[in-house]
Amino acid sequence: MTLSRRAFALGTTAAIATALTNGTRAASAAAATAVELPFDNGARPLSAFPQKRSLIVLTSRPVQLETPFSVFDNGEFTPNDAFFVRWHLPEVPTRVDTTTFRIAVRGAVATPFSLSVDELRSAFDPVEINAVLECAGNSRGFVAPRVPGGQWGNGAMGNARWKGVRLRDVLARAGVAEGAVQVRFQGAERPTLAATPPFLKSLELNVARDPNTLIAYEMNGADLPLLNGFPVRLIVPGYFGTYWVKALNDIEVLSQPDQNFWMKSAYRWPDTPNHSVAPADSGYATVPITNLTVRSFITNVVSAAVLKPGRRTIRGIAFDGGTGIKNVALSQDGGVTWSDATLGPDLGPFSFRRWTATVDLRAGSSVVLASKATANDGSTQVDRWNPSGYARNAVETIAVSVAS
Amino acid sequence: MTKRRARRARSAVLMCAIAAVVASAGVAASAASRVVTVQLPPQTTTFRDAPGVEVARANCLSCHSAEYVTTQPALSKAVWTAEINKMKTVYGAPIAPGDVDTLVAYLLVQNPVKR
Repeated sequence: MTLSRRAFALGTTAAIATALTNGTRAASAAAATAVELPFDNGARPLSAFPQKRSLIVLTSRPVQLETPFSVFDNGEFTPNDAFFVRWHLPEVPTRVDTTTFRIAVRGAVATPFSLSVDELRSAFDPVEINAVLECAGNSRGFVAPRVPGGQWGNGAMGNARWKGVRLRDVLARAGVAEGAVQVRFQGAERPTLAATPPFLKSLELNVARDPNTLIAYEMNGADLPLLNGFPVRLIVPGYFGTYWVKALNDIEVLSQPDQNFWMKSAYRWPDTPNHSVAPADSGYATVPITNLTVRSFITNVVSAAVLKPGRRTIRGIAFDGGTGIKNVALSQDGGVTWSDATLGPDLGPFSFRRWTATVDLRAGSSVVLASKATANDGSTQVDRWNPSGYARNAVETIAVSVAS
Repeated sequence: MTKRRARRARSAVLMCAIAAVVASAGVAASAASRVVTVQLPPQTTTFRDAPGVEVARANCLSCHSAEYVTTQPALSKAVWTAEINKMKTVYGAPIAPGDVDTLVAYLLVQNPVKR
């Protein structure tokens, strides 16, 4: 179980001091140049990439940036300049000209065509949806025993209001052929080596045609940052980010299931109860990861904080794979006893949902806070292990002490 | 109430995003032609000196930055060997057969932080 989810800022004692009182940490931490995520080898530089505030640098090429966790205490929506970044291939687009950028629709269709971003905006009805984008490897650094892969803390997620057009409207214009089974997507990122497989992801036809699946051209009321997929990216609410192809420029309707590496080998997890296995297990079948698992986080208290006695409000966020949050419970004793939190406004089943709970803290006591969300489909947070460290959603604990 | 909240959040975010585009170094944007150009900062993390570091630099850094290695936890020889084989067979890295053992040995010692 995780002892702490928060990065402590290095390079400024003021940041550490404010972390103890929480909520005001961000301003001081902005001056920090590095953080220490709370797991082995957790040292990370902070850097402001183009169109981004100072974020946690996981890797610089291909670029992967993590949102500092304090951002999630500020509201349901993650600002564009704080939103995490994850590319798969080293040649990330650094220049996009929307007068020449085209989105091709081809494959098993009656009428292949391509269109510009302006044509996309004008030819189809606009749709807006609030949806969480989470990397399948979010929180991989907390997986025990540790597994290879991108060693994220808890900041490879974000919630935004996306605006775009329905993929199904675009597909309908092309005329999907009888017998089509999947739709495959590619964006503008490219490998360095010719031998490296291109990054291709496919959705089952019914998911591609879901009214919530969008080609988005706006994020939180503004253009997408280039590092988040400008000028358009795929939005698959409820699904992990691997499907949300950035700088989307190719849509191919398939009449056979996709056999490419990124579907057949990567982003799969055990087809076992709870998708969990033991590290020594082998020989089990795997299936592609799809829906987000239900999670909750406390956002206004950091591990090892010293809190004042008396009534305090604990607040946080919760989300799931698209059924919506039914309940969040808070524990002050590390998960032995629970009481219900109060849910904030419902911004839709795919959105972050805020919650608050009041605790009465006695001086001198040690408190282990934990939150646990249950989704409307009955699913709740579980401890699991899989060799790729996907979809972590264990109940996490934050130990604090109470002193006046 | 919900709509008002959402609108308020969106307008705050919008102003934030515009400020970021204007203020960020390394970004050129033109509203008229809608061309966005960014310049990504240089890589700063490097491989630590240890036997085999030249082989690691030559084979690994053409496709990815050093953090792909340096941020990993303590991994076993079997896991590092599997990672190198994945680079060869899946991603097409032209790693000479004779370099695999050198790379594994380097990866096992490259990170002194093993708590």
